Amino acid sequence: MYGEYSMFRRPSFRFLSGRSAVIAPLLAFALVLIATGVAATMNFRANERLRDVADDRRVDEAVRLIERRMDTYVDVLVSGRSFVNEVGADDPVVFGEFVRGLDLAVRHPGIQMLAFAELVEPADADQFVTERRAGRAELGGPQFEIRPPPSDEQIVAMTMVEPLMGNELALGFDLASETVRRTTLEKARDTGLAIASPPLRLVQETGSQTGVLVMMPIYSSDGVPTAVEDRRSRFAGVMVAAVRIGDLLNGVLGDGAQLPGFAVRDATGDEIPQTMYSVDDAPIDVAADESNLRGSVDVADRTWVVHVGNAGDVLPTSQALRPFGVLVVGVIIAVLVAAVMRATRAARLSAERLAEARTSELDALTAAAGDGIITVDVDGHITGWNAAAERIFGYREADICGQPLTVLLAVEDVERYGDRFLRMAKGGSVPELAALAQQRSIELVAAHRSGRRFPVELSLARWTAEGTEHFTGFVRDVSERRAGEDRLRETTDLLTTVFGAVEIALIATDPDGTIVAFNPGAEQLLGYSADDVIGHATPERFHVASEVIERAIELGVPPGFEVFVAAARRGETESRRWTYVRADGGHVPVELTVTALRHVDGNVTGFLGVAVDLTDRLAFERATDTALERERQVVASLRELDAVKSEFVSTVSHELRTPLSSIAGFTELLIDDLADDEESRRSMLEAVERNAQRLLALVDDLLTVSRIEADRLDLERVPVDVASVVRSAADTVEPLVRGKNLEFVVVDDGPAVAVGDGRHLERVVLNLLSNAIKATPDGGEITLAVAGTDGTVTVTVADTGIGIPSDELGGLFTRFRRTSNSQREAIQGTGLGLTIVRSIVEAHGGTVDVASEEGAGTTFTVRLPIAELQPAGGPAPVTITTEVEL
Amino acid sequence: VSTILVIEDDTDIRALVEAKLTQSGHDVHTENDGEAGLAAVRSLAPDLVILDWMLPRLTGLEVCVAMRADDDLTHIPVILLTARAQEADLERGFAAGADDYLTKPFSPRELATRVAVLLDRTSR
Repeated sequence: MYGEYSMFRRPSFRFLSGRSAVIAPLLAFALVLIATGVAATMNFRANERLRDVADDRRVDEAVRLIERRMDTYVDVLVSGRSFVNEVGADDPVVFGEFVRGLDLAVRHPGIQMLAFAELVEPADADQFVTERRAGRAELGGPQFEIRPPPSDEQIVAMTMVEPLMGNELALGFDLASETVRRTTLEKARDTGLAIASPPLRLVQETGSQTGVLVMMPIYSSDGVPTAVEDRRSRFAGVMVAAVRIGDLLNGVLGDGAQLPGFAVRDATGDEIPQTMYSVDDAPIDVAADESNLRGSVDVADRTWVVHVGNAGDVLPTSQALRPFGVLVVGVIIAVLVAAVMRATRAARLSAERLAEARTSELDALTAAAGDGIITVDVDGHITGWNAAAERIFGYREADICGQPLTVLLAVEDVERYGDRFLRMAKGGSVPELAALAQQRSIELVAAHRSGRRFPVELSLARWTAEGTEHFTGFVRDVSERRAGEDRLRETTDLLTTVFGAVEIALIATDPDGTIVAFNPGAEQLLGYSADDVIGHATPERFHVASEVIERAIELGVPPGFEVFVAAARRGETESRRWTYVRADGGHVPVELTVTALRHVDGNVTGFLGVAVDLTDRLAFERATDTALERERQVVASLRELDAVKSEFVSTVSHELRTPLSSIAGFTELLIDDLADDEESRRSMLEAVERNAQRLLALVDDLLTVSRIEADRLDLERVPVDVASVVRSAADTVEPLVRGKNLEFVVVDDGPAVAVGDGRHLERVVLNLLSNAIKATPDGGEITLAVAGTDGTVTVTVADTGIGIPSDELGGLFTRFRRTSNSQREAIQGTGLGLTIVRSIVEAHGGTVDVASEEGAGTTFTVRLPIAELQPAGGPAPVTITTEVEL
Repeated sequence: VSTILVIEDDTDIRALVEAKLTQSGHDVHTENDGEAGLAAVRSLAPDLVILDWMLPRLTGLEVCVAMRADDDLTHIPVILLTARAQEADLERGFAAGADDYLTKPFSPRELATRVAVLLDRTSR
């Protein structure tokens, strides 16, 4: 059994075993993910750098623009100061024209208001208000007053405000009244420079914008005094620009001031930073304070920090998305790698399970196989051996494994094939076995362990495992098959012999009618050789066309081969008579039996026709028919004879009784003496005599017939003068003729001698005359003639009687035969007369003929050989004519 | 005197019967075949007919049957003369309508006696 020798060993090498195989996909997944992360990070960083560069650029740009704008504001203040120095501070109308000339709304959109604030001593406050009200009288608008109302402190109130509209609340406002503004004011006074305030809410502001005031100090002397004390003492007021930060930024940065995260805050010195602007009032990201997203702007003594915020992606989309792409692709790759590894693993596991199932299936098959299955290594040594092999060869697996394959071969096959195995065994003749494996199968004589030799069929399968070649042999004991083949061959031989030997014709065809077999019997019957017809003809060639057509019409099929096999196709075996046409054109009647040849599946593979020559049988049948017909005729004639005989008995009885009636009757009358006179008595006596004669003739006839039947006619052989015989007969019938009114003529040409028996010849003439008398009605004529001429004695009896129907002439001389006319006329007679006539005439070597016309008469002619008795020159014949009147 | 018709084809027997019956005092007429005989029966209306069986043209039986089928003739007694002597023949004769039967050869005295008896019986 296959066990430790199993050729289906489990694989000893595995790519990964158990647990590690589960982890491997995860590991690969992680590795790929890490690599992906690195790549993505690098891409991120690169993008970051690119973004930083962009951010720096943005910050620089914003700082630059804001500084430049603030510089222009300072310029506006400078020109305002120059206006006050040149024109004075007491004419608001001119100041209005001056400011409108600056076109603030277009050219300096951040400046909401340009104003002049004038220093007023508290003591001068009332007078000052009055003067300024007068100065503004023609302008209209709100009345000038100082707000908040003056206290004891110095007042710096805005006396000219442009544009006034929208800035009404600023007019009269005392900048010194509020700490932040006063601080800014004092710093500007002391420094002589334009100073910006911290972020504050402008008094005129109605919205939410933060603003700053930028103040330019104006002194009572031209220029700025050098010493702080002089700047304080000569301080006259300040030119003020109110700047709305939102408008400023929007003006210089446009949409850049709306980007998320954009903000500006005041972060001057140690002061608490204050937000001046942020998009959507978002709190400023403190962490971002440290980033590169901000820049400082020094504006009129203040430090503003500009935050540009994360302005969204400045990079091209493809560049910006690259790290994500890398990440996504990496993750996908990681997943795929893991999936592929898992799938590979699953497939391998499934393959292993399949291999396991297959192995156990093969082990079972191998064990159960009917064929011996033997595995051989490259050296030709047996390594595997199944149960069937054990049964076939008688070796147990344990005994045979390791042995060379050649131990299984019979000696002669060891010589034939063994060297291949031996060479192979000696090392590396693998091609030899491989060559054997190429063959479908080889037949060998194998040796059983017991020494018994038997035929086997071996097929070799070649397979490779772990780089080593193996061969598996399938061995089948074909002893029984051989025996079966032998029997089949014997049967085939027998059939072939029978096919060739039988005298009946066997013709086989394929389903379409082409002849495929034609035995010698068929060759002999039809005169064709097998080579002439096999593959070339259908059996239709041997048939008479008219018979085929006739049968085709009966069957309702087209005339052709189908006519012969239509019944066989239906599964019937049909026997029919046909006429075969031989190669020489001769016709042979045959009985043809057609059978369909069928495959086991029922399909018709051809037809077999068996034709038997009917010539002899038909001849026999004809002979039989003829014999039977003859027999029937004999029986019929015997029956007829029987009927005739019984009629004969009746007739004879009648023929005997009728004359006896007359004889007995007249005798009684005579005895009773009833005759009136002598003539009457004589007439009665003559009647008695006449009837006695008639009775005697009848008895003679009967005796003659019985002699004829017994073939004992006992003829005399002496010269007889037929003429005298005729005369004697005429005398004899005279009493008969006398009873009728007939003309009786006898023509006698003198002696006419024949050799024979006179008594019998007289009977011939008597019978003919008797018939003539009976057949001839009153008034008729009977002629009796005799002549000896030309070697023949001729006797003629002619009458003018009822005649004989022509169809009855042939049987006229048959005994007991009486004509239909004589029966109808109730003419007396036994039917023996003519039989006697012919028998006697023929016994004399003569003939008797009859000629008759119905209703006109009958003539019988008897011819007898003449006897040369008289010497030549004897007396000439004398003609005697006797006429008898009756 | 009774009128008797004899139908018989044999000349001698006809003469015999005629002689005997004439001698017995009857008026005897004769015919020699069946056809003439039947015609004579019709024309003569005899008191009795003596009829041979074997007759030309019409047999005695045929004449007898024809008479029995004819209302005018059916009463006439018939004596059948025949050479046939079998019982079957007798039956056929009586079946045909014959009143009496004589087998040939017969005695003229017996014939005369039967004729007398038959005439006596029918006349009564």
